Amino acid sequence: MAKTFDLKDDSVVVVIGSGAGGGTLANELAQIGVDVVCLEAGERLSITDLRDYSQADSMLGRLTWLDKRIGTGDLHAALPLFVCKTVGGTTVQWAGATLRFQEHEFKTRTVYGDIEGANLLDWPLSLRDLEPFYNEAEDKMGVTGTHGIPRLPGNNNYRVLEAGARRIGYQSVHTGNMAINSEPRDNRPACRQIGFCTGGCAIGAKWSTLYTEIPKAEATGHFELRPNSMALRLTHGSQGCIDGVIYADNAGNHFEQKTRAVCVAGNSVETPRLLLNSESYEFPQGLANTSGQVGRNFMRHTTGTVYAIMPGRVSFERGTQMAGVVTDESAFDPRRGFVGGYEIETLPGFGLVNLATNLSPSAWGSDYAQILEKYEYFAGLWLVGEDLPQASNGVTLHPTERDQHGLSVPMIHFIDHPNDVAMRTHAFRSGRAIYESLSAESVFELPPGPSTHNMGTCRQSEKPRDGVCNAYGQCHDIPNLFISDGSQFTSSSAENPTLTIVALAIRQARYLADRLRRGEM
Amino acid sequence: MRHYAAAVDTLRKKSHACTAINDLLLDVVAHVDAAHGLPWVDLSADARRAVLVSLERTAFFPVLRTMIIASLYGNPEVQKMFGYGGSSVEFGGYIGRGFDDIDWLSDN
Ligand SMILES: Cc1cc2nc3c(=O)[nH]c(=O)nc-3n(C[C@H](O)[C@H](O)[C@H](O)COP(=O)(O)OP(=O)(O)OC[C@H]3O[C@@H](n4cnc5c(N)ncnc54)[C@H](O)[C@@H]3O)c2cc1C
Ligand code: SF4
Repeated sequence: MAKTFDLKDDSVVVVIGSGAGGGTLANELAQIGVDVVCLEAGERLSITDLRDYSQADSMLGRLTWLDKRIGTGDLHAALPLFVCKTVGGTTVQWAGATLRFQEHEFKTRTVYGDIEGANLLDWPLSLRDLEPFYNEAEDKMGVTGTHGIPRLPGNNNYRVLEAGARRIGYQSVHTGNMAINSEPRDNRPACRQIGFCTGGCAIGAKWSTLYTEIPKAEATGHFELRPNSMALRLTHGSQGCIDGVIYADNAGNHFEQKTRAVCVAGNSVETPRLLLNSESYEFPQGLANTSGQVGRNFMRHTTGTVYAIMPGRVSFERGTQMAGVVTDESAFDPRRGFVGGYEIETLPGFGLVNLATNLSPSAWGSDYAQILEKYEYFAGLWLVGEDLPQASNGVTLHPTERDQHGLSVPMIHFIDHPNDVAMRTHAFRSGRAIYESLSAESVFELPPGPSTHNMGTCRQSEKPRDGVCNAYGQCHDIPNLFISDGSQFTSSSAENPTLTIVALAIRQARYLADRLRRGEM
Repeated sequence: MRHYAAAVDTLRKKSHACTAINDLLLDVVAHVDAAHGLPWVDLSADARRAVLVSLERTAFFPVLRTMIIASLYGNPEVQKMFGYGGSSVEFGGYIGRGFDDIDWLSDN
């Protein structure tokens, strides 16, 4: 059934990346009957390879993108991002929180105003434009709390969050909208509260393109997945349209796949990097970059973690990692001293070793050992809110350093905007108050780790001078080149990004298939 | 105490397999023995602590910290003592095994 296409077949659409954006887009195109070749840099694991990583960290090493990247500013220097290189992309590791953007979050320039240092811009689309695709995406992903799908039961860590949140007056507290089956659906079982979802779900209860979109696409006979295939550069003809993708296999052999249209979904560093690395005589600044916005406006959400030692046992490793959410702080309320909002979501310690390593990154000695002995009493939450786009936060190419493929190594720069700092301070206070209302013995505030939510480096804009692509992710400069992942986000919102990536991918597939049918590419 | 010894033993095994770790550990031992004029083993607990504090800013200290944490808190016996449940796939998950057994939260 799984089809193969000839390298010279220029009627295929090439999708780069098989994660949330690429995996979904490829399947949606294949369902319509469009022939797709999907190039994925990582290997193809089967679900039986996925084990939780509670004992051995081997799973993480196998899934994580570890090619050289250089982080500067507030980022971790050697591991600025925490994302996957594997078939299924970061949906193998993601926690499954699946929230819609709010209406005003598509109009940040209009609603928030002109904020110094921020490169705010309204999206060229509205919540209303995206609503039908949110509906389809939620149905596809089996999101709890939508479409009559019951919510998951709350685990201990959630019940602590809920009790504390209610005690300090929060109203909107529930076990979330999760792309995790609460009952059997779509030939996948219900969650068994195994825990360690971010090591990969061993039973497939959590939606991942690895075992949903990709096999479904293969079943259409219109789709070929090429794992271990790293796209190196895009080539274009004299008309300025993309006509091929050069890629390398693990042995370093190079191939060129001819193509009709290319959709890039390599996550928010690799996507702009590929465009920049594809510079040519006609496009000396990189592809689709006449605006100069390729690589700029990198957003990663304003985050922070709060751990607390509670008066009773919690055992927070048990069950779904993101087990619930408080949404009261996600609204726009500038009286708090910042624009945008944030969500409060549960987080476990990721195992005893991780908690000991990260709780207080340089602490040691008997005092610290005594804190860790209270392991069973720990509860934890994650604060995740909107960060503002800034022109100087982003991805550039290192002038001399090359990776194993001979490509320029990406440098990623990020510094908090003062609004981000004000939000984080407020969010830490809220997180602390939740646990202190239940008489927590001590509370720990942890700064952001490597970025997991990556957005904005090839943003949508109404006018070509403000961004890279239009409301369908189609590049302003090159009509057969599409941005198909979180890179196209114009703002980051308070919500976890994946539902919006998936909804945009479904919308883009319909648009692209329509153009192809009309012979426009 | 036994578990700390086991953690050190894990490091010893690692150092046999890897010269970089071996060199690092030799460097640590040289430092802690030299710090007070007396070998480490002859120092009081307070003096030992003072020696370690003086080494906190060395390049090897955080590496050593990470290795000790991994071997000490990665030890299944220690994890059991701490009440850390760990992997649950092989037991069918935490669904019938206390994922929601919290009993100290009052309802109001
Ligand atoms: C621990 C963790 C928890 C998370 N939890 C949540 C959550 O609860 N909710 C939520 O909404 N989001 C969550 N996320 C974020 C979520 O995983 C991402 O938003 C989402 O996967 C991004 O989709 P993507 O398609 O942009 O990229 P990815 O899913 O990262 O896929 C990109 C793929 O492209 C491949 N690729 C890159 N460059 C090339 C190239 N040049 N050639 C070929 N292939 C290439 C990569 O190998 C990768 O497989 C989490 C992330 C992490 C790390
Ligand atoms: S807790 Fe549920 S979703 Fe998470 S890994 Fe386990 S079964 Fe999968």
